[in-house]
Amino acid sequence: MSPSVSAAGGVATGDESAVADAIRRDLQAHGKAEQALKFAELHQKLLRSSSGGALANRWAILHLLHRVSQQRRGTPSSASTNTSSFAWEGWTGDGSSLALGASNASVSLDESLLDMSAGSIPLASAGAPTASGGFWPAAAPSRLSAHREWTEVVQGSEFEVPEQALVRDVVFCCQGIDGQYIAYEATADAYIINPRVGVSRAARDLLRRLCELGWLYGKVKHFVDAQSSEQENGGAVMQALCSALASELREYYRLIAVLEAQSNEMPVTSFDEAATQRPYLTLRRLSVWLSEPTRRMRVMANLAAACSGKKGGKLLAALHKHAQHGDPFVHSFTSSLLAKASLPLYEMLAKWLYRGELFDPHGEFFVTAKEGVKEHELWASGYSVNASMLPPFIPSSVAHLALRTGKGINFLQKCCGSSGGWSADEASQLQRELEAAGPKGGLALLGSQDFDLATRSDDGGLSVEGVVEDDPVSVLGLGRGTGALERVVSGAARKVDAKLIEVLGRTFQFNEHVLAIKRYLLLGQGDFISALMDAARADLDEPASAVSSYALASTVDSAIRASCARYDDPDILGRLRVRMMPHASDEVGWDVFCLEYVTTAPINTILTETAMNRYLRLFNFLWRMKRVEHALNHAWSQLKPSGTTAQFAAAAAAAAAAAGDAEGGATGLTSARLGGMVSLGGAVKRCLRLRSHMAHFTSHFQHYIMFEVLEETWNTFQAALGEASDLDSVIEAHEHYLGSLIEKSLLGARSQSLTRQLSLLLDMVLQFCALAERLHEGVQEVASLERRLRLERDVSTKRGGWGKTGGSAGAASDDKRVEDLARSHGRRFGEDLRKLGGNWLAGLDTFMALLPTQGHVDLRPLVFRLDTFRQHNNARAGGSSASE
Amino acid sequence: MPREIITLQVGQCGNQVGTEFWKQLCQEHGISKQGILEPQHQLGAFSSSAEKSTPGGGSLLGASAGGDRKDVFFYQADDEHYVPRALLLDLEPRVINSIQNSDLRSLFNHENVFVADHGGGAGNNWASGYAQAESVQEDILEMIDREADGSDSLEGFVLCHSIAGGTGSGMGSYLLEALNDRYGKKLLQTYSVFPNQNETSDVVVQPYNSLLTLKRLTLNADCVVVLDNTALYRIAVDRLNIENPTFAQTNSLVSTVMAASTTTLRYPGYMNNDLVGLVAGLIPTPRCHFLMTGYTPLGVLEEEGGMNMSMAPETGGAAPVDARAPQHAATSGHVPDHVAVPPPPSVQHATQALLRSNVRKTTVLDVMRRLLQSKNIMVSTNVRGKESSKSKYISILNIIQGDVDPSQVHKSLQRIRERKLANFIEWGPASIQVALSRKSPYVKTAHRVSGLMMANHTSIRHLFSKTVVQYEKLMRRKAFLDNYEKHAMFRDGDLSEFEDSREVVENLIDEYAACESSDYVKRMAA
Repeated sequence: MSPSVSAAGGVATGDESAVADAIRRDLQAHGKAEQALKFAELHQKLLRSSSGGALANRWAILHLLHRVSQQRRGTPSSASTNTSSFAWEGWTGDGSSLALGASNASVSLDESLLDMSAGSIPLASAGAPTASGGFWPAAAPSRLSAHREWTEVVQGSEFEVPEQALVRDVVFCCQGIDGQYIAYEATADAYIINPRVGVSRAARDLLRRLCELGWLYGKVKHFVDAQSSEQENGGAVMQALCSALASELREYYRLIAVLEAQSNEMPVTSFDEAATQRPYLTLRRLSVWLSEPTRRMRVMANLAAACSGKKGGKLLAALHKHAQHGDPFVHSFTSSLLAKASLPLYEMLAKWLYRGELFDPHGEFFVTAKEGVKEHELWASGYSVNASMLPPFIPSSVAHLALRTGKGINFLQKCCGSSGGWSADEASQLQRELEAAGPKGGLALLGSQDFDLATRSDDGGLSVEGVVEDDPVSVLGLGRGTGALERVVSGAARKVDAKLIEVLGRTFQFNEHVLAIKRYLLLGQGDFISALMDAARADLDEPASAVSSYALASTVDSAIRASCARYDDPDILGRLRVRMMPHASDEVGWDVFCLEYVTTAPINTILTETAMNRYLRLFNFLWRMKRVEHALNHAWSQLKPSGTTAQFAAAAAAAAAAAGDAEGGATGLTSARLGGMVSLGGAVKRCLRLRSHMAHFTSHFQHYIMFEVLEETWNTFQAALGEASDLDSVIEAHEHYLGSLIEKSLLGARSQSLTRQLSLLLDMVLQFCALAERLHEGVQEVASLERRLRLERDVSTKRGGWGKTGGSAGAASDDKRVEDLARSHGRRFGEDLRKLGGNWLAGLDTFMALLPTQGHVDLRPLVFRLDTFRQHNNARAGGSSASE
Repeated sequence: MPREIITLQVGQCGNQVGTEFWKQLCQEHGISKQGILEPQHQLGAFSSSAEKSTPGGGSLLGASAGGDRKDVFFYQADDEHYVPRALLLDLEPRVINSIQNSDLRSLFNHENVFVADHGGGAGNNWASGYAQAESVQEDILEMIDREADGSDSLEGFVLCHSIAGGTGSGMGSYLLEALNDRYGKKLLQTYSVFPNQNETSDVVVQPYNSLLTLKRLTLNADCVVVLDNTALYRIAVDRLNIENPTFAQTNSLVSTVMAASTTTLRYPGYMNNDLVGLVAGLIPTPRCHFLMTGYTPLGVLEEEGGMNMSMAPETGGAAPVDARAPQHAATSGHVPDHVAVPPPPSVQHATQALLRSNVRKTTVLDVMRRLLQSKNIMVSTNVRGKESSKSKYISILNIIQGDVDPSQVHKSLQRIRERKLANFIEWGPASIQVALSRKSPYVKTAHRVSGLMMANHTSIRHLFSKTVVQYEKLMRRKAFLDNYEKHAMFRDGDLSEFEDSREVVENLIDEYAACESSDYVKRMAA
């Protein structure tokens, strides 16, 4: 058809099919039936496609190829060098008519043939001067130089590797495959254009830039492949990222395929047309086509480098860090990847939020569970936020909210028994509610929106403008507020918290328990406490080692029965136990006795063991205070106004007054007895005075405890409890309540000196009460002696008239006996009381002096209450009664 | 072991006062006049409002709505009826019969009612009452023993009586001695009504009776709550605007005080849960155990009379408009003292508005300040000038009832001390003690806070002095002694008992006087 074909002479043009047949036969003969089939098919295609005259000298080409392959097969050992040399011979042999200008066409055809047959025809058969170094015959330098010479002759300085070949190479490179001229150099970690091929500097630059994509692709591909091969370690987030990357790669492949097709579609032009018809895909065009993928691939490669070896939240953190980019493209692209990569996180979060399930086989979630946690510790230490796994776009507050929500569900399920469970219904209802709350709602929706975003980015049209306010990108906290996520989490948290509070408050009656503790452990139930004190008194006076807690337990029971406590909830009463503190040898029952309130799940999450121990300390302190008050009251009732002891004292005082006024008195006491009685009466008076002083102190201290400590902190606590909407704040409120109780009761760590001084004072009061008891007995002794003697005298007087011993003498000696006893008692007790009184006042002064040192607690109310002592002491110091 | 308290009501006055007291107690505990606990739904309407008005009130006392302690004053019979631990003793049947014919007849245990067989009474003669009591002591003591045996841990006895008549004073005196002898370890508290000294009494010998009783109150009682009819009458006239107060009306004041003073026992809390604790703080020195009381708001009490007070027929019910008009005067009378509201216009509804604002004004400070005003105190000492400035408080206990923020208490105490509203003794530490108590959920009151003061004040000696003076007037003329000389104690003109009593009372007066001086301690220690 074309003149060049006719010029080929020899074989007739019509013989094309014969050549084709020969090739087929040859292939079949060599057992390559499949390839033969494929060849026939391809040949058919070729015929069809070239029917428009696109390919002119088919026969020549086929013939050439056939010859080449025959030659190769004939000398299999001579390898490619021979083949190529043959090719040259073949070319030259075929005559000059086969102009080199056609080499373009033949090469491209060969390439396409090669491509179409998937490399079944060895590359070497291309016959063209390939650029790959391995093809250059090192053994035939002369040939090379000859070729160069030749090319220079033919093409002069204009000779270049044809652009099409370079385009093709670039397209190869972009798939990570070495091209003819461009190959990956492992040492340089780059795609290198063979320096020896003729490529213009500008093209080289361009190629280098284009080949960067290939290099980047290699990185990304390697990353994705590495992850898919070791999925177990990578974790779900990594997998999600890889899948996102892989889908990006798929898009990329599609592009490459298109490019490749375009590069192939370049019409084969005649020699004449070559000048006018440029190939469709040029390097420049390619660079335009590839610039966008390159940017994208660059980002991906960066991400791959940044993310490798990380997992879970850390990985997301790395992604997020890269998403914080000034370039809107990088920002949105990374964000979309981030959105996809964080999908597993959201799935985990959704499971956690709605069902409390911690599905995290790779340890990627920011909530971690602690193994082997007991029920009562579940809330406190069962779960925690793993900060390193917390992606930075989830604020810590939200993370803790989420932690609390899931923890709450777990708590409801594990600790609250059947009544408090978190059923699947509730979970799905919560999910439904949150998802129905709008497009910003559920996490599932978050996910679907993510996919939308991904699709959009596939079109390559992802624009910053496309990121609207409600987008998951913004949900992820990429600078546009953390709205939706926070809304979802806080919505779930509210629901779960509300349920938890309700379960604790209503079903488990938390407040009832705290109230019960206040009533029983903080002595609020006064009648029970005094009944207990009365009933346990005898037992508790025993040495600590001799006190049986069983006996005391039954005492507690009887105290309950004897007081209003018996109307209380049996469940609450059943929780009251007697506990004996560890004791030293010289302690008595009072020191070691404690009431304990047993808490069970789930209440023991708030009323923890530590808290209960602090309550025990409070009880111990208050109980001691109460005991002192009780002892003082007991002393008062022994010295009470209508009692004989007080009568004695009064009579003595009256007698003293009378004796001061005039000689003798109408008191009924003879003057002989007066001295002793006055002495004893004075002791009683002193005793009463000291008692009232001490009672004043204890009662005002107790007033302080009641008004400023128990009630005030209780009111604060109740207010805080009313406002608390979640378990954490309930716990915090309770901790605060207990803490300020301890602090204000002067039991805090910083009040030790005060505690010690107070304890000394209380000890003194107890000593005093014992002394008062003895004094009372002493007075009774005197009184009974007097009564007995008078009785004897009366009897003897009645019996014997004047009696044997003589009335007045006997009376005098009797009086003497009474007086001696009274005097000795009076002196002894007076001395003891004076000493104790002095100690007491000194101790009190020390205590008062210590109070202002307690800067950390507001003790002004206590100081105020005890101020009367200071006033009184001042008056005492300045006044006339210094003799005391 | 509820620390039971047995009430003995002796004589006409004692029984009247006691009956009012039991009515009040029943009301506060939701016990019907038949002794049956009111069903809860009846309580509902009241309790809900009460609970609303006192948030945290329940917690304050540590008990739930039913957390009152009935068994201090009541016991439950086999049929679940609540029976007062009360003995009704009289020498003439009139008052007791009227009680037994009233709607309260099934409340009391009939075995606990004692009326002398002859029913002639004591004829306003202490000696007769004392002697009759002595003659029937076995019966009475047996009743007391039975009642005491019926309690787990008897805390003590409360005696209601007047000291002027015959039965209350004479029989009461005998009982005081007998109880002190028999139950020496138990507390013996009395609510003793002192005679009105402003009006000429029909009982001419009341100074004798008073003096003789005072001796027993001094020697044999542990705590005497003095209720001076002079002051009660004055309060009824001035504060409640009753022109001629009847005994029933003044008695209801007494029962109010009695009920209020026992609230801490009936509604147990952190402190002041037993009588000893309550009283011990008030009586530092044994002889000075005579307490004054004050109660506020009384004006509101009258307003609420229709609801819960026995004086309903006289005031609220019969002539509401008339009752309110004088109320206006009373209100404006004491407004300047504690409310910064201008004197009210005489328009009717404006008065009511003021009344209401007045009610709302019952803060703790307000209540505590009013309690310190002598016109609210139920003992009339009638001293002025130098004498009154010398008198001092030995101790004060304020029982504040109602919706109280504990922090208010502290502030109020501070204000009172800053303004030196209470003058305390110098020889020992003394200050106001405050007990908070819950309001009964069964009784609806318009005021948020009410307060009772129990105070040991040295000015009470003037009351005794007056008694001694009046006694001496009579004794100088040896008037009306023949009725006394009929009885064993005074037979053959033996007046040593009178002399002895006078001496005891004078010693008491001296002791109180000594308490006013700062060197009391030194004098005692001499």
